[in-house]
Amino acid sequence: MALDRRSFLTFVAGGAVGTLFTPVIWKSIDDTAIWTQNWSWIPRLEHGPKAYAATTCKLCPAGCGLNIRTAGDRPVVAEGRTDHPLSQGGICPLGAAAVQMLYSPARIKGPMKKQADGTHQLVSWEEAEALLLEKLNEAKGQGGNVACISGDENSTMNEVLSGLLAQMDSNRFFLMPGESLTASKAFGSWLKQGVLGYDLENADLVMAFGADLLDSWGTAVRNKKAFGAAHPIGEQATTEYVYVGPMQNTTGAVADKWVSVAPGLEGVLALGIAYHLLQSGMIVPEALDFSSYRSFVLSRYTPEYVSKVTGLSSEQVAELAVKLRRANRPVVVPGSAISQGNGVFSLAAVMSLNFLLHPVNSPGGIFVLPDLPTVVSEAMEPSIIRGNDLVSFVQKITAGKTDRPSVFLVYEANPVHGLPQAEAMSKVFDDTFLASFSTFYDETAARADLILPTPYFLERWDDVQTPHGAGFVSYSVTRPVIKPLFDVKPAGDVVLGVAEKLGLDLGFSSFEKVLEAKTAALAEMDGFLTDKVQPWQVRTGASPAPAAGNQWRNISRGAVWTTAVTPFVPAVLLAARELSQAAPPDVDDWAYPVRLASITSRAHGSRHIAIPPFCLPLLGEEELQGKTFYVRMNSTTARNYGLKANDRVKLVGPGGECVARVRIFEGVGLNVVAAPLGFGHTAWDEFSRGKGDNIYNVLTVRTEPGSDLSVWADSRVRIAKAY
Amino acid sequence: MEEKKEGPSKGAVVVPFLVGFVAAIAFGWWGFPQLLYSSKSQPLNFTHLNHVQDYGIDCEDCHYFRPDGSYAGLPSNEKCAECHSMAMTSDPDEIKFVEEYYEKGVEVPWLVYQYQPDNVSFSHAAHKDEDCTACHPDVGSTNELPPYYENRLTKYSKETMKMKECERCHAKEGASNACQVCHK
Repeated sequence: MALDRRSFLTFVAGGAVGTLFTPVIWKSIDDTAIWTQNWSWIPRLEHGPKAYAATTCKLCPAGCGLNIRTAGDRPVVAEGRTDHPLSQGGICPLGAAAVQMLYSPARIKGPMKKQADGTHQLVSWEEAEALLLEKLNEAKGQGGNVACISGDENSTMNEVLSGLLAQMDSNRFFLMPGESLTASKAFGSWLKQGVLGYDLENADLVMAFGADLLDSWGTAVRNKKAFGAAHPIGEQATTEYVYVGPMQNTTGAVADKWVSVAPGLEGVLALGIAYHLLQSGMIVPEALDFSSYRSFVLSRYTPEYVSKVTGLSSEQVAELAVKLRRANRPVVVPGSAISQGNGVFSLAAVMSLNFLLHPVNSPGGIFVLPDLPTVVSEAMEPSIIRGNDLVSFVQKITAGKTDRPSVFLVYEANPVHGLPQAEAMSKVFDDTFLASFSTFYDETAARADLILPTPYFLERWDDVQTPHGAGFVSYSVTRPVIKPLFDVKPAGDVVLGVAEKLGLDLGFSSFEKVLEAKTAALAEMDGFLTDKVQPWQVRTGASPAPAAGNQWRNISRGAVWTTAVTPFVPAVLLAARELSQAAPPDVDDWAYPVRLASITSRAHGSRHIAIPPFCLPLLGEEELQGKTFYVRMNSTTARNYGLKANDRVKLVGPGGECVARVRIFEGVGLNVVAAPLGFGHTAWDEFSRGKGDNIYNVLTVRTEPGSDLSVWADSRVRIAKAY
Repeated sequence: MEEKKEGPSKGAVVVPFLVGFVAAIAFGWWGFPQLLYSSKSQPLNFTHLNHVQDYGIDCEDCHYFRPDGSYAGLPSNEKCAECHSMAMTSDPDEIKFVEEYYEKGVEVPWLVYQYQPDNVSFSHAAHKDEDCTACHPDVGSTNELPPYYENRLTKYSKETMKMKECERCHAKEGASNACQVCHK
């Protein structure tokens, strides 16, 4: 039988039919489908033993405890820590992004030096440290020729850096400006041994003026926990929360009562309330300047005047006074929604209510929280550091009134982006040698001549001392959970090493040893660990067992140290002189007629951390669209300026401008525009940069009369439709 | 009158058809797998039977659940080195383990017969009452490790379980077959 055409075709047909009875077709289709999903970049899970590592967050100053869950020694997710009194199991959006930020594309991979063309190139640590040493050597002994800006107000790193400066005859050590600076200007004359704290947990009325307690202000997660404990589901609230502020932000929306007052006028309202309290016979016996305070308030802050300035009715003001008088343990929290830039007038006016309502160190009121002992030789005292005004210093340099340092050390701070009038302020770094100790490639690092990358907080030793806004003293340690992913070196070790080569003796060979010494120094104070008794419970009678055992071992593994000891305060000053001199003028500013209520949220990052990719999905349609962000104003304000929802609007301040879209929100007061900080990054990575504009550029610094403090929380702008 | 053309004989149609049919069957069931899979051998030959019989080691001594409930799977170098930190015999595989892997700090790249992709969450703890050999090859009763067949196209092991096998057992045992049970 020959193989003819017919036979061939039937052979093929037979083959085709036969194939149907084999897996060839089905298996090929299935495998091809799987093959199309095999990409080299698909991440593979690495399995391993699960564990938890208790540590302390460094992404914002609130100092929350974090439990880092690890699988096979790799961090997988950050969770809240129920045993940490500053977070009590809670976590904020930024803290929840902690593990993702470890792998951020904005991480700096190794030391970098700026090249002639402005780009950064990786160099070795030897070369980087030699360059730093050379620059510091040039500046050594020329008092003040080196300055330092620290963005971490709670770390013992500040002792290392300020100790280095002190031994180089410079006292130009600054923190990024915050409210502790304002408090220092207001009460620093009598309050040198610590800061004032707010016992929210024991209060039965919390009245916050400006401070966005339930989002980003102070110990935000602890504040929320106190609020939650006082508002049990389905039951009557045990503590009333009243928010006095320019907009219905998170605190305004959640609080039991929201009182709308334009930014900068919180102090006027507070003194209006003080008027009623004084009228009812309340006094501050321990205040040395009480009589001048009393006569100033009674003569100027009459119900009619306060009503005229704030726009609230006299009855509303009187009602707030009644609330405070009737409460057993009321606490009043002063602040600004952005935790910076408020004036002595605003702070002292609001704080004076606390002094009127109860003596210092009463449960449910305000407490003096003592500073922890310093350990690095010649380190600046915390009270001195708090009083150093960075913005004034920068203004003096740019105005030519003081010498420009030849070397700027910037530690975990982003002044190029995060100082008011940022563009103008960042000119201070022109013609100086700028060295940035940073984990991320932020705007300051991008500008720096030398980048000395610090390990991420999950890769290093660090600590958190009593954060701003806390109600009790606390000390907890940040510890490495994973070996550094990149060629980074702890800033403390770099500084100690360079100091030694400069012939200076800071007393330590490594930063870990500094922390060990710090922990040992706590023994001077009568403290305890918070594993069984919480610090606020001690104020209502609980008695803790004193801290025992190996202190460093316990604290370095996550234990939190605290003390209930409060310094004796024989007398206070209500800052009556500053109040009378710094009172805001009655006349309106017609050049910049709209008040700017800047806001900040942990969902947008923090002072030194740009919004993490993890938080981007939290941004609503009316917060960011494409590259443009939104500012909020009420419909009347918008109508007055010919604006509609979604219109592009230009905000112009005396020092800069920005463009946004309009979101109509009736929770913003009349003639106020609310704008979020934390946008407009130009460095960082593809996820965080190029989103919105930087409101810091629009904030306007003024010098407050009487206190000589730089103030910008009450900035004003001009708004107009942008085309 | 033209002679009528004869049609093809029955055999002329059936035979080529059958030849084609049988050839395709043979190719599909024998040749195709040869083409599709490459055969690989494990980096070391581990003698399960000797370890169990001669040294009284239980399966769970190396393939154990950690205290947190997660499954350790294959033992790490560290586990093997509890006995084999130095070669105890002159067996070339043991020497290779000590010199090439343990001393150099390189984990043995064992080939896993049933590796599942990450989109499946499989808990050994939930299946610990089943017999291991219900899914895994019975390596414990032999001193030879079976060859590992890698699918050239998908790069998965030939013995990777498909979803239908999971579903069949779940259905039989009365366990849920809802998507989120495995695809979390």
